[in-house]
Amino acid sequence: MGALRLVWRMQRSEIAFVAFACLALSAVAAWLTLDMRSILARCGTADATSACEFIFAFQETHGAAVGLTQTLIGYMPFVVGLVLGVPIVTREVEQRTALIAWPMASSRLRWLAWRLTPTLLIGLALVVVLAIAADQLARAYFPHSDIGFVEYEARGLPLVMRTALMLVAGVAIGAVAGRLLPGLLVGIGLSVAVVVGLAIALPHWVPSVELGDPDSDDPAAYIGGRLHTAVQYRLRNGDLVSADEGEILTEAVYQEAGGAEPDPALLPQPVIYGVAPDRYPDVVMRETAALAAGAAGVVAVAAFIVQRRRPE
Amino acid sequence: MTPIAWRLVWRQQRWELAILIGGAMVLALAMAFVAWQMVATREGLEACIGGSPLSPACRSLVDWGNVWTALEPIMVGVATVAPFLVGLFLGAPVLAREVERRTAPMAWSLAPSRRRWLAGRIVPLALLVVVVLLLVGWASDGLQAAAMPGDRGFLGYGSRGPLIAARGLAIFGIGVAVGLATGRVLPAILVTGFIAVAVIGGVEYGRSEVMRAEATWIDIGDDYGATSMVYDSRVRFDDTGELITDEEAFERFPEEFGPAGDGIPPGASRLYLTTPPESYSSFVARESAVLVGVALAAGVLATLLVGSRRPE
Repeated sequence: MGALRLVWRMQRSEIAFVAFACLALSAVAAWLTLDMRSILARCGTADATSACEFIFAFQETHGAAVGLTQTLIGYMPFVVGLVLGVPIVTREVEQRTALIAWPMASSRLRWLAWRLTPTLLIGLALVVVLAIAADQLARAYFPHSDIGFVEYEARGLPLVMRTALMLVAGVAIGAVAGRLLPGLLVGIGLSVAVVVGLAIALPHWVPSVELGDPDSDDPAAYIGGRLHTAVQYRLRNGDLVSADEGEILTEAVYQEAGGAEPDPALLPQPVIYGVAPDRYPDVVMRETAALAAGAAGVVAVAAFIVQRRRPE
Repeated sequence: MTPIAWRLVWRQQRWELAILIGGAMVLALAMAFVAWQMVATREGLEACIGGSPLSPACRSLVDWGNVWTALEPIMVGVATVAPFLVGLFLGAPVLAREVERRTAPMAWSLAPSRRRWLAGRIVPLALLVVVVLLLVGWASDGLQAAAMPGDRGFLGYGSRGPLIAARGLAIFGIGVAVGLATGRVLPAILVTGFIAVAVIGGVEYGRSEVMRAEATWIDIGDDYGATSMVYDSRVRFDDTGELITDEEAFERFPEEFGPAGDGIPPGASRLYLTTPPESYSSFVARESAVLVGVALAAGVLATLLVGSRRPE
């Protein structure tokens, strides 16, 4: 409790900001979820709407609000991580209190643990609430199908793990920079790198397989629940060619037809590769393990820097 | 502006200027380069269509075309966010840091007047913000023109042209005033972020309402892609000028809406209630004027604050 109170006193405005943002977004997500589920509860009655039948049940009625909420939720791991993480060391260095705090602590590592652990717990507790609300929102928005990888980064465990990684990364950046503003700017750049890196890694956590036709009856294929990783075209002789070449060959078939509808047998057939929605738990667990290991490594780096840096 | 003022600005905000102003200039150069390459690649690709199999040169062009096409939305997205980052991280800390580190009271007692001190701190930065963001806006406009030749009307509104600089200046001004009021760097950044989103969102909302109010019935013809927002559509009888809804047209001419019809009654044409694409420049000018007004108002507020603030 003493550590929590100390963190609250030292980072009051940052914690208040993060708590307000997380809880406000959670409240909006919960309200939208309940509203959509109340509409579905009327299915089968005289008050039933078209949402009871369509895969994109709430696109017209709730699409804009849900999209904006999910976009803002997607930013939160980076906002929470940097706003809470970067000032932990930079403030002590900038305000020269590290000159007093570090010699007074029995060790710098204990000082870092004393400051980092409560901050991490507060940040993760807030984001867990948000992640649950965001997960329910995504499920309520597509009520008629397995949502699979829809809004992958902006709900559930991936949201929490990204926050953990960015918070400890914020601490490490702050320890290196020793100044708040450059630390935040570098942190924003690192956030972009993390987003891009994790997006590139996402299709590789489990092997891709050939999936069925996207125009099949599988609703998950329509809503983005499948993770498409590559498209190729199969020629009449069975050879596979790249998507670009397949599209150019398709264009050539249409040009040869001279405006008439070409024989479908002449057209190259698209072949979709990717990850099926039922592999979502496997992907989440593997990515979580990698992010946890990465966060532990970043904590070690931060600890090393705090041990070595001059307190000014 | 004296050379000393510029040197002082550089010495005080070296990191931020290098990252934000340098980054914005690199972004502008990169967008100009991609725009140039996009046009050159498209010209080369036009000669490749119809050739089967593709020559190695055409395959290479296809690959490069994919690279430029993938880069364009990313760069435009960064250009859209640039005024927020540049305005926020240069505006909010510039005075908050002086107050927080208690260098402001000393500077105020040494300067001939607090207002002159304020001008020395703010004007060079404001000039840098405007010039660099104008470059970003110009390059983004060129890049979008390369990606989509022809009249673009309201497409990409807010992500190109002088509006980027106007937004950056407004957020910079708000940040200066908030930084002076709070006197602490991180709270100033967080509060400015909130206010900036509210102000820019409010201006956007107001602009969309004005666009709707100024919408007229026009025959879009082939310029459909240049139209940002279609609020309604009607069928007009060319001889009488009578406007009717689609429902009325369907009741009166059901055969035209069947499989054999073309969806429009004989002697009629379709009109759309929309803001004419030609008025894009007018809206940009008006919105820019509002945002510059916001920046000036924030400057006046900062001048009042700096005169009344206690030197602590």
